[in-house]
Amino acid sequence: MCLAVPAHITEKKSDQKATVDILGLTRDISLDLLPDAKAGDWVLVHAGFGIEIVDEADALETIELIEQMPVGFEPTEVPEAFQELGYEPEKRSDYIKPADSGKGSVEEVGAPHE
Amino acid sequence: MSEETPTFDLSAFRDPALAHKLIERISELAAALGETERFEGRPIKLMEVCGTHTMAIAKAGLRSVMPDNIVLSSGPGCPVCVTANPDIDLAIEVAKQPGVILTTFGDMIKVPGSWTSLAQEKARGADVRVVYSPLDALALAADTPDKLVVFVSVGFETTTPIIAASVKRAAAAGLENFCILAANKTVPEALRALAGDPEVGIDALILPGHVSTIIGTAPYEFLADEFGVPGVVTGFEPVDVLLGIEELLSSLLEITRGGSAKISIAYERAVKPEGNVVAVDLMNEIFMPCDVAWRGLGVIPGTGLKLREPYGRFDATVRVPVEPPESRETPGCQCGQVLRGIIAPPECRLFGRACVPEHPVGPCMVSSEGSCAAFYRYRSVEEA
Ligand code: SF4
Repeated sequence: MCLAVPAHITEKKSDQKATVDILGLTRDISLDLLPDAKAGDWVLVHAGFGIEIVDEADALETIELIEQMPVGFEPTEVPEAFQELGYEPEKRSDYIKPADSGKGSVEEVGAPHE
Repeated sequence: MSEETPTFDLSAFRDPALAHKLIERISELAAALGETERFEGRPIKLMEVCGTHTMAIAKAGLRSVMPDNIVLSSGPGCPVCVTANPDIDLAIEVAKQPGVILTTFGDMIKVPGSWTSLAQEKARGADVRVVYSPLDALALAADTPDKLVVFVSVGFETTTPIIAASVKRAAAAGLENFCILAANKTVPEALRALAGDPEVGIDALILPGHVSTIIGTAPYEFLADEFGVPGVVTGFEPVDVLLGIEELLSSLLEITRGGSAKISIAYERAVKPEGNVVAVDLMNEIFMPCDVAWRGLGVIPGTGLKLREPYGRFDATVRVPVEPPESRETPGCQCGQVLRGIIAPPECRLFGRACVPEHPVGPCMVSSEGSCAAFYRYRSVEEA
Protein backbone atom coordinates (compact mmCIF):
# COMPACT_ATOMS: atom_id res chain seq x y z
CA MET A 1 0.00 0.00 0.00
CA CYS A 2 2.98 2.25 0.47
CA LEU A 3 3.85 1.86 -3.19
CA ALA A 4 5.16 5.03 -4.80
CA VAL A 5 6.35 5.49 -8.37
CA PRO A 6 8.69 8.03 -9.93
CA ALA A 7 7.03 10.71 -12.05
CA HIS A 8 8.45 13.62 -13.99
CA ILE A 9 7.03 17.09 -13.34
CA THR A 10 6.18 18.70 -16.66
CA GLU A 11 4.42 21.78 -15.36
CA LYS A 12 3.92 23.42 -12.01
CA LYS A 13 0.46 24.90 -11.58
CA SER A 14 -1.38 27.07 -9.07
CA ASP A 15 -2.78 25.76 -5.78
CA GLN A 16 0.29 23.53 -5.15
CA LYS A 17 -0.56 21.27 -8.05
CA ALA A 18 1.59 19.97 -10.86
CA THR A 19 1.18 18.02 -14.06
CA VAL A 20 3.39 14.96 -14.21
CA ASP A 21 4.31 12.27 -16.65
CA ILE A 22 3.87 9.05 -14.72
CA LEU A 23 4.88 5.90 -16.56
CA GLY A 24 3.85 7.56 -19.82
CA LEU A 25 0.51 8.87 -18.54
CA THR A 26 -0.27 12.52 -17.86
CA ARG A 27 -1.71 13.19 -14.42
CA ASP A 28 -2.17 16.05 -12.00
CA ILE A 29 -0.71 15.59 -8.55
CA SER A 30 -0.61 17.67 -5.39
CA LEU A 31 2.66 19.18 -4.17
CA ASP A 32 1.33 19.94 -0.69
CA LEU A 33 4.12 17.79 0.76
CA LEU A 34 6.79 19.05 -1.66
CA PRO A 35 6.36 22.81 -1.90
CA ASP A 36 9.84 23.23 -3.39
CA ALA A 37 9.52 20.75 -6.25
CA LYS A 38 9.78 22.34 -9.70
CA ALA A 39 9.25 21.47 -13.34
CA GLY A 40 11.86 18.96 -14.49
CA ASP A 41 12.16 17.28 -11.07
CA TRP A 42 11.53 13.60 -10.55
CA VAL A 43 9.19 12.94 -7.67
CA LEU A 44 7.88 9.82 -6.00
CA VAL A 45 4.10 9.80 -6.25
CA HIS A 46 1.87 8.06 -3.72
CA ALA A 47 -1.94 8.28 -3.88
CA GLY A 48 -1.97 11.47 -5.90
CA PHE A 49 0.72 13.34 -3.95
CA GLY A 50 4.42 13.85 -4.51
CA ILE A 51 6.17 12.61 -1.36
CA GLU A 52 9.84 13.16 -2.19
CA ILE A 53 12.10 14.48 -4.90
CA VAL A 54 14.16 11.55 -6.17
CA ASP A 55 17.62 11.98 -7.47
CA GLU A 56 19.04 9.94 -10.32
CA ALA A 57 22.57 10.81 -9.18
CA ASP A 58 21.91 9.08 -5.85
CA ALA A 59 20.66 6.04 -7.72
CA LEU A 60 23.87 5.90 -9.74
CA GLU A 61 25.93 6.26 -6.56
CA THR A 62 24.25 3.23 -5.03
CA ILE A 63 25.03 1.18 -8.13
CA GLU A 64 28.60 2.37 -8.08
CA LEU A 65 28.90 1.39 -4.46
CA ILE A 66 27.82 -2.14 -5.28
CA GLU A 67 30.10 -2.30 -8.28
CA GLN A 68 33.03 -1.33 -6.15
CA MET A 69 32.24 -3.77 -3.39
CA PRO A 70 34.75 -6.53 -3.26
CA VAL A 71 33.37 -10.00 -3.45
CA GLY A 72 35.16 -11.89 -0.79
CA PHE A 73 37.19 -9.47 1.24
CA GLU A 74 40.36 -7.71 0.36
CA PRO A 75 43.26 -9.16 2.34
CA THR A 76 43.88 -5.88 4.11
CA GLU A 77 40.39 -5.76 5.51
CA VAL A 78 39.78 -9.44 6.12
CA PRO A 79 38.24 -9.67 9.52
CA GLU A 80 39.41 -12.60 11.57
CA ALA A 81 36.16 -14.44 11.18
CA PHE A 82 36.73 -14.56 7.43
CA GLN A 83 40.26 -15.71 7.39
CA GLU A 84 39.40 -19.38 7.04
CA LEU A 85 37.03 -18.67 4.15
CA GLY A 86 39.88 -18.79 1.67
CA TYR A 87 39.06 -15.66 -0.30
CA GLU A 88 40.62 -15.62 -3.73
CA PRO A 89 40.57 -12.23 -5.44
CA GLU A 90 40.71 -13.91 -8.87
CA LYS A 91 37.32 -15.44 -8.21
CA ARG A 92 35.77 -12.03 -8.43
CA SER A 93 35.52 -11.98 -12.23
CA ASP A 94 33.45 -15.16 -12.05
CA TYR A 95 30.55 -13.45 -10.39
CA ILE A 96 30.72 -10.14 -12.09
CA LYS A 97 29.42 -10.69 -15.54
CA PRO A 98 28.31 -7.96 -17.88
CA ALA A 99 24.56 -7.51 -17.75
CA ASP A 100 24.10 -8.77 -21.29
CA SER A 101 26.37 -11.81 -21.08
CA GLY A 102 23.34 -14.07 -21.09
CA LYS A 103 24.82 -16.00 -18.21
CA GLY A 104 23.18 -15.89 -14.85
CA SER A 105 19.64 -16.00 -16.13
CA VAL A 106 16.97 -13.92 -14.49
CA GLU A 107 15.54 -16.96 -12.66
CA GLU A 108 18.89 -17.96 -11.29
CA VAL A 109 19.65 -14.70 -9.64
CA GLY A 110 16.27 -13.53 -8.65
CA ALA A 111 15.45 -10.56 -10.84
CA PRO A 112 11.75 -9.81 -11.22
CA HIS A 113 9.57 -12.14 -13.23
CA GLU A 114 7.94 -9.70 -15.52
CA MET B 1 5.32 6.27 -24.63
CA SER B 2 6.81 8.83 -26.95
CA GLU B 3 10.53 8.98 -27.67
CA GLU B 4 10.94 12.15 -25.63
CA THR B 5 9.40 10.74 -22.49
CA PRO B 6 12.22 10.88 -19.99
CA THR B 7 12.69 7.79 -17.89
CA PHE B 8 14.01 7.38 -14.41
CA ASP B 9 16.32 4.53 -15.19
CA LEU B 10 16.12 1.81 -12.58
CA SER B 11 17.28 -1.03 -14.81
CA ALA B 12 20.57 -1.35 -12.95
CA PHE B 13 18.55 -2.25 -9.86
CA ARG B 14 17.28 -5.30 -11.71
CA ASP B 15 20.63 -6.24 -13.16
CA PRO B 16 21.26 -9.97 -12.68
CA ALA B 17 25.02 -9.46 -12.51
CA LEU B 18 24.74 -7.01 -9.63
CA ALA B 19 22.21 -9.24 -7.91
CA HIS B 20 24.51 -12.22 -8.34
CA LYS B 21 27.38 -10.34 -6.81
CA LEU B 22 25.34 -9.32 -3.79
CA ILE B 23 24.13 -12.89 -3.34
CA GLU B 24 27.75 -14.03 -3.27
CA ARG B 25 28.57 -11.50 -0.61
CA ILE B 26 25.52 -12.48 1.37
CA SER B 27 26.63 -16.13 1.24
CA GLU B 28 30.09 -15.25 2.46
CA LEU B 29 28.76 -13.08 5.28
CA ALA B 30 26.22 -15.74 6.26
CA ALA B 31 28.96 -18.37 6.39
CA ALA B 32 31.15 -16.13 8.53
CA LEU B 33 28.23 -15.38 10.85
CA GLY B 34 27.45 -19.10 11.13
CA GLU B 35 30.87 -19.59 12.66
CA THR B 36 30.39 -17.00 15.38
CA GLU B 37 29.34 -18.00 18.84
CA ARG B 38 26.16 -15.99 18.61
CA PHE B 39 24.82 -17.54 15.42
CA GLU B 40 26.40 -20.97 15.37
CA GLY B 41 23.84 -23.66 14.64
CA ARG B 42 20.87 -21.38 14.40
CA PRO B 43 19.15 -19.37 11.67
CA ILE B 44 19.55 -15.62 11.45
CA LYS B 45 16.14 -14.03 11.28
CA LEU B 46 15.70 -10.86 9.24
CA MET B 47 12.26 -9.33 9.24
CA GLU B 48 10.78 -7.02 6.68
CA VAL B 49 7.90 -4.85 7.85
CA CYS B 50 6.52 -3.37 4.65
CA GLY B 51 3.98 -5.00 2.37
CA THR B 52 5.76 -3.69 -0.70
CA HIS B 53 8.91 -5.51 0.46
CA THR B 54 6.84 -8.65 1.10
CA MET B 55 5.75 -8.55 -2.53
CA ALA B 56 9.17 -7.62 -3.89
CA ILE B 57 10.88 -10.49 -2.05
CA ALA B 58 8.27 -13.03 -3.13
CA LYS B 59 8.15 -11.81 -6.71
CA ALA B 60 11.91 -11.93 -7.19
CA GLY B 61 12.13 -15.30 -5.43
CA LEU B 62 14.76 -13.93 -3.07
CA ARG B 63 14.06 -16.56 -0.39
CA SER B 64 15.22 -19.27 -2.76
CA VAL B 65 18.64 -17.65 -3.18
CA MET B 66 19.30 -17.07 0.51
CA PRO B 67 21.91 -19.19 2.29
CA ASP B 68 20.41 -21.89 4.55
CA ASN B 69 21.01 -19.96 7.75
CA ILE B 70 19.22 -16.79 6.62
CA VAL B 71 15.48 -16.59 7.20
CA LEU B 72 13.50 -13.75 5.62
CA SER B 73 10.29 -13.33 7.55
CA SER B 74 7.47 -10.86 7.02
CA GLY B 75 6.06 -8.72 9.77
CA PRO B 76 3.05 -6.42 10.14
CA GLY B 77 3.77 -4.46 6.97
CA CYS B 78 0.41 -4.24 5.30
CA PRO B 79 -1.83 -1.48 6.71
CA VAL B 80 -4.94 -3.29 5.54
CA CYS B 81 -3.88 -6.55 7.20
CA VAL B 82 -3.11 -4.95 10.55
CA THR B 83 -6.45 -3.14 10.72
CA ALA B 84 -8.31 -4.88 13.54
CA ASN B 85 -11.76 -6.32 12.98
CA PRO B 86 -13.59 -3.72 15.13
CA ASP B 87 -12.26 -0.95 12.85
CA ILE B 88 -13.36 -2.81 9.72
CA ASP B 89 -16.75 -3.48 11.30
CA LEU B 90 -17.08 0.22 12.05
CA ALA B 91 -16.41 1.16 8.42
CA ILE B 92 -18.97 -1.39 7.27
CA GLU B 93 -21.57 -0.05 9.69
CA VAL B 94 -20.96 3.53 8.53
CA ALA B 95 -21.31 2.44 4.90
CA LYS B 96 -24.78 1.08 5.67
CA GLN B 97 -26.10 4.45 6.88
CA PRO B 98 -28.42 6.40 4.59
CA GLY B 99 -26.95 9.51 3.00
CA VAL B 100 -23.39 8.20 3.28
CA ILE B 101 -20.96 7.56 0.44
CA LEU B 102 -18.08 5.50 1.79
CA THR B 103 -14.83 5.93 -0.10
CA THR B 104 -11.83 3.66 0.36
CA PHE B 105 -8.56 2.52 -1.14
CA GLY B 106 -9.20 -0.58 -3.22
CA ASP B 107 -7.26 -2.93 -0.94
CA MET B 108 -9.76 -2.50 1.85
CA ILE B 109 -12.97 -3.37 0.06
CA LYS B 110 -12.82 -7.16 0.09
CA VAL B 111 -11.32 -7.52 3.55
CA PRO B 112 -13.69 -9.53 5.70
CA GLY B 113 -14.73 -7.95 8.98
CA SER B 114 -16.32 -10.03 11.71
CA TRP B 115 -19.48 -10.75 9.79
CA THR B 116 -19.37 -9.18 6.34
CA SER B 117 -17.17 -7.04 4.08
CA LEU B 118 -17.54 -3.68 2.36
CA ALA B 119 -17.82 -5.53 -0.96
CA GLN B 120 -20.73 -7.59 0.34
CA GLU B 121 -22.48 -4.49 1.68
CA LYS B 122 -21.95 -2.74 -1.63
CA ALA B 123 -23.62 -5.68 -3.37
CA ARG B 124 -26.52 -5.21 -0.94
CA GLY B 125 -26.87 -1.57 -1.94
CA ALA B 126 -24.47 0.43 0.25
CA ASP B 127 -22.77 3.26 -1.65
CA VAL B 128 -19.12 2.19 -1.40
CA ARG B 129 -16.62 3.59 -3.88
CA VAL B 130 -12.97 2.88 -4.50
CA VAL B 131 -10.75 5.93 -4.86
CA TYR B 132 -7.10 6.23 -5.79
CA SER B 133 -6.49 9.28 -3.64
CA PRO B 134 -8.32 11.01 -0.79
CA LEU B 135 -8.42 13.99 -3.18
CA ASP B 136 -10.90 11.98 -5.26
CA ALA B 137 -13.07 11.72 -2.15
CA LEU B 138 -12.84 15.51 -1.74
CA ALA B 139 -13.91 16.03 -5.34
CA LEU B 140 -16.82 13.68 -4.78
CA ALA B 141 -17.86 15.64 -1.69
CA ALA B 142 -17.82 18.86 -3.73
CA ASP B 143 -20.00 17.19 -6.40
CA THR B 144 -22.53 15.68 -3.96
CA PRO B 145 -23.28 18.34 -1.35
CA ASP B 146 -26.36 16.45 -0.13
CA LYS B 147 -24.31 13.37 0.82
CA LEU B 148 -21.75 12.79 3.54
CA VAL B 149 -18.56 11.47 1.95
CA VAL B 150 -16.61 9.33 4.41
CA PHE B 151 -13.04 8.27 3.63
CA VAL B 152 -11.69 5.11 5.28
CA SER B 153 -8.34 6.35 6.40
CA VAL B 154 -5.86 3.51 6.70
CA GLY B 155 -2.15 3.58 6.12
CA PHE B 156 1.23 4.16 7.69
CA GLU B 157 3.33 7.32 7.62
CA THR B 158 3.60 7.16 3.83
CA THR B 159 -0.12 7.73 3.52
CA THR B 160 -1.03 9.67 6.65
CA PRO B 161 0.45 13.03 5.52
CA ILE B 162 -1.59 12.72 2.33
CA ILE B 163 -4.75 12.31 4.35
CA ALA B 164 -3.68 15.18 6.60
CA ALA B 165 -3.21 17.38 3.52
CA SER B 166 -6.66 16.35 2.27
CA VAL B 167 -8.34 17.20 5.59
CA LYS B 168 -6.61 20.56 5.52
CA ARG B 169 -7.78 21.15 1.98
CA ALA B 170 -11.34 20.18 2.98
CA ALA B 171 -11.23 22.67 5.86
CA ALA B 172 -9.89 25.44 3.60
CA ALA B 173 -12.54 24.74 0.97
CA GLY B 174 -15.35 24.55 3.55
CA LEU B 175 -16.22 21.00 2.50
CA GLU B 176 -18.13 20.12 5.63
CA ASN B 177 -19.70 17.03 4.03
CA PHE B 178 -16.34 15.27 4.02
CA CYS B 179 -14.96 13.29 6.94
CA ILE B 180 -12.61 10.42 7.68
CA LEU B 181 -12.65 7.21 9.70
CA ALA B 182 -9.15 7.40 11.11
CA ALA B 183 -7.47 4.01 11.47
CA ASN B 184 -3.95 5.15 10.57
CA LYS B 185 -1.02 3.67 12.38
CA THR B 186 2.58 4.61 13.02
CA VAL B 187 5.36 2.09 12.51
CA PRO B 188 8.26 2.68 14.96
CA GLU B 189 6.54 1.75 18.22
CA ALA B 190 5.14 -1.39 16.62
CA LEU B 191 8.74 -2.35 15.87
CA ARG B 192 9.49 -1.90 19.56
CA ALA B 193 6.79 -4.43 20.37
CA LEU B 194 8.33 -6.89 17.88
CA ALA B 195 11.95 -6.28 18.86
CA GLY B 196 11.12 -6.89 22.50
CA ASP B 197 9.18 -10.11 21.86
CA PRO B 198 11.34 -13.22 22.35
CA GLU B 199 8.81 -15.36 20.52
CA VAL B 200 9.33 -13.23 17.40
CA GLY B 201 13.12 -13.34 17.82
CA ILE B 202 14.33 -10.78 15.29
CA ASP B 203 18.05 -10.40 14.63
CA ALA B 204 17.81 -7.48 12.20
CA LEU B 205 15.14 -5.39 10.46
CA ILE B 206 14.62 -4.41 6.83
CA LEU B 207 12.93 -1.04 7.37
CA PRO B 208 10.17 0.27 5.12
CA GLY B 209 11.28 2.42 2.19
CA HIS B 210 8.51 4.94 1.75
CA VAL B 211 7.49 5.21 5.40
CA SER B 212 11.10 6.27 5.92
CA THR B 213 10.88 8.72 3.02
CA ILE B 214 8.52 10.61 5.32
CA ILE B 215 9.91 10.00 8.84
CA GLY B 216 13.63 9.59 8.11
CA THR B 217 15.78 7.35 10.30
CA ALA B 218 15.80 9.06 13.72
CA PRO B 219 12.58 7.35 14.92
CA TYR B 220 14.25 3.93 14.50
CA GLU B 221 17.46 4.66 16.42
CA PHE B 222 16.08 3.12 19.61
CA LEU B 223 16.08 -0.29 17.90
CA ALA B 224 19.86 -0.16 17.65
CA ASP B 225 20.43 1.64 20.96
CA GLU B 226 18.01 -0.22 23.21
CA PHE B 227 17.70 -3.62 21.57
CA GLY B 228 20.96 -3.96 19.64
CA VAL B 229 18.91 -4.71 16.52
CA PRO B 230 20.42 -3.22 13.34
CA GLY B 231 18.07 -1.89 10.67
CA VAL B 232 18.42 -0.80 7.08
CA VAL B 233 16.01 1.29 5.04
CA THR B 234 15.90 -0.10 1.54
CA GLY B 235 14.04 0.17 -1.74
CA PHE B 236 11.96 -2.30 -3.68
CA GLU B 237 13.95 -3.52 -6.65
CA PRO B 238 15.75 -6.86 -6.23
CA VAL B 239 19.15 -5.18 -6.03
CA ASP B 240 17.83 -2.76 -3.38
CA VAL B 241 16.57 -5.58 -1.19
CA LEU B 242 19.77 -7.62 -1.61
CA LEU B 243 21.89 -4.58 -0.80
CA GLY B 244 19.83 -4.10 2.37
CA ILE B 245 20.35 -7.72 3.39
CA GLU B 246 24.06 -7.42 2.69
CA GLU B 247 24.26 -4.34 4.92
CA LEU B 248 22.38 -6.05 7.74
CA LEU B 249 24.64 -9.09 7.67
CA SER B 250 27.76 -6.88 7.61
CA SER B 251 26.31 -5.00 10.52
CA LEU B 252 25.60 -8.21 12.47
CA LEU B 253 29.12 -9.42 11.83
CA GLU B 254 30.49 -6.16 13.15
CA ILE B 255 28.35 -6.55 16.24
CA THR B 256 29.74 -10.04 16.88
CA ARG B 257 33.17 -8.44 16.73
CA GLY B 258 32.32 -5.87 19.37
CA GLY B 259 30.81 -3.15 17.18
CA SER B 260 27.46 -1.54 17.93
CA ALA B 261 24.19 -1.84 16.02
CA LYS B 262 23.25 0.95 13.65
CA ILE B 263 20.40 2.12 11.47
CA SER B 264 21.42 2.82 7.88
CA ILE B 265 19.95 3.80 4.53
CA ALA B 266 20.47 1.74 1.37
CA TYR B 267 17.82 3.73 -0.52
CA GLU B 268 19.48 7.13 -0.80
CA ARG B 269 17.65 8.07 -3.96
CA ALA B 270 14.37 8.32 -2.06
CA VAL B 271 15.18 8.63 1.64
CA LYS B 272 16.95 11.43 3.46
CA PRO B 273 18.05 10.88 7.07
CA GLU B 274 15.73 13.69 8.18
CA GLY B 275 12.78 12.49 6.08
CA ASN B 276 10.22 14.89 4.59
CA VAL B 277 9.89 17.54 7.26
CA VAL B 278 6.96 19.32 5.58
CA ALA B 279 5.01 16.06 5.57
CA VAL B 280 5.81 15.23 9.19
CA ASP B 281 4.82 18.73 10.34
CA LEU B 282 1.55 18.50 8.47
CA MET B 283 0.82 15.08 9.96
CA ASN B 284 1.44 16.47 13.47
CA GLU B 285 -0.66 19.54 12.78
CA ILE B 286 -3.74 17.50 11.86
CA PHE B 287 -3.33 14.33 13.92
CA MET B 288 -2.28 13.41 17.44
CA PRO B 289 -1.22 10.00 18.76
CA CYS B 290 -3.67 7.67 20.47
CA ASP B 291 -3.70 4.01 21.47
CA VAL B 292 -4.84 1.57 18.84
CA ALA B 293 -5.30 -2.18 18.43
CA TRP B 294 -3.33 -3.95 15.68
CA ARG B 295 -4.43 -7.29 14.37
CA GLY B 296 -2.06 -9.85 15.85
CA LEU B 297 -0.17 -7.39 18.03
CA GLY B 298 -2.90 -6.10 20.32
CA VAL B 299 -3.08 -2.52 21.55
CA ILE B 300 0.19 -0.64 21.05
CA PRO B 301 0.20 2.64 22.97
CA GLY B 302 0.58 5.78 20.90
CA THR B 303 0.60 4.11 17.48
CA GLY B 304 -2.86 5.26 16.45
CA LEU B 305 -3.80 8.69 15.17
CA LYS B 306 -6.83 10.84 15.84
CA LEU B 307 -7.78 14.24 14.56
CA ARG B 308 -6.55 17.21 16.54
CA GLU B 309 -8.66 20.34 17.07
CA PRO B 310 -9.83 22.30 15.14
CA TYR B 311 -10.18 19.31 12.80
CA GLY B 312 -12.30 17.13 15.13
CA ARG B 313 -15.36 17.89 13.02
CA PHE B 314 -13.87 15.78 10.23
CA ASP B 315 -14.04 12.68 12.43
CA ALA B 316 -16.63 10.29 10.99
CA THR B 317 -17.33 8.70 14.38
CA VAL B 318 -18.64 12.09 15.51
CA ARG B 319 -20.59 12.74 12.31
CA VAL B 320 -22.14 9.27 11.96
CA PRO B 321 -22.34 7.64 15.37
CA VAL B 322 -23.03 3.93 14.86
CA GLU B 323 -22.89 0.80 16.94
CA PRO B 324 -21.39 -2.08 15.01
CA PRO B 325 -22.26 -5.62 16.06
CA GLU B 326 -19.84 -7.30 18.43
CA SER B 327 -16.57 -8.22 16.74
CA ARG B 328 -15.02 -11.65 16.53
CA GLU B 329 -11.86 -13.10 15.05
CA THR B 330 -12.24 -15.07 11.85
CA PRO B 331 -12.37 -18.74 12.89
CA GLY B 332 -9.30 -20.74 11.85
CA CYS B 333 -7.37 -17.77 10.45
CA GLN B 334 -3.83 -17.41 11.76
CA CYS B 335 -3.16 -13.94 10.37
CA GLY B 336 -2.21 -12.79 13.87
CA GLN B 337 0.76 -15.14 13.93
CA VAL B 338 1.62 -14.50 10.30
CA LEU B 339 1.77 -10.75 11.05
CA ARG B 340 4.25 -11.32 13.87
CA GLY B 341 6.38 -13.53 11.66
CA ILE B 342 5.89 -16.46 14.04
CA ILE B 343 4.56 -18.70 11.29
CA ALA B 344 5.06 -18.46 7.55
CA PRO B 345 1.79 -18.44 5.58
CA PRO B 346 2.04 -22.07 4.35
CA GLU B 347 2.10 -23.16 7.97
CA CYS B 348 -1.51 -22.03 8.34
CA ARG B 349 -3.75 -25.06 7.89
CA LEU B 350 -6.14 -23.14 5.67
CA PHE B 351 -3.46 -21.79 3.32
CA GLY B 352 -4.04 -22.87 -0.27
CA ARG B 353 -7.00 -25.04 0.76
CA ALA B 354 -9.93 -23.22 2.30
CA CYS B 355 -8.04 -19.94 1.92
CA VAL B 356 -7.02 -18.83 -1.57
CA PRO B 357 -7.19 -15.34 -3.14
CA GLU B 358 -10.53 -16.18 -4.83
CA HIS B 359 -12.06 -17.20 -1.47
CA PRO B 360 -9.90 -15.50 1.13
CA VAL B 361 -10.47 -16.31 4.77
CA GLY B 362 -8.27 -13.64 6.32
CA PRO B 363 -6.98 -10.19 5.37
CA CYS B 364 -3.45 -11.48 4.71
CA MET B 365 -4.84 -13.39 1.73
CA VAL B 366 -7.16 -10.58 0.55
CA SER B 367 -4.82 -7.66 0.41
CA SER B 368 -2.58 -7.58 -2.62
CA GLU B 369 0.34 -7.00 -0.25
CA GLY B 370 -0.62 -9.49 2.41
CA SER B 371 1.97 -12.12 3.25
CA CYS B 372 -0.39 -15.00 2.49
CA ALA B 373 -1.33 -13.52 -0.89
CA ALA B 374 2.34 -12.92 -1.73
CA PHE B 375 3.30 -16.49 -0.83
CA TYR B 376 0.34 -17.90 -2.72
CA ARG B 377 0.82 -15.86 -5.84
CA TYR B 378 4.53 -16.58 -6.16
CA ARG B 379 4.56 -20.02 -4.55
CA SER B 380 6.34 -21.70 -7.46
CA VAL B 381 9.14 -19.15 -7.11
CA GLU B 382 9.27 -19.54 -3.33
CA GLU B 383 9.47 -23.31 -3.56
CA ALA B 384 12.09 -23.28 -6.30
S1 SF4 C 1 -3.76 -18.46 4.86
FE1 SF4 C 1 -5.71 -17.39 5.03
S2 SF4 C 1 -6.57 -18.14 6.93
FE2 SF4 C 1 -4.40 -18.66 6.98
S3 SF4 C 1 -3.43 -16.91 8.01
FE3 SF4 C 1 -3.36 -16.49 5.82
S4 SF4 C 1 -5.21 -15.26 5.43
FE4 SF4 C 1 -5.48 -16.24 7.45
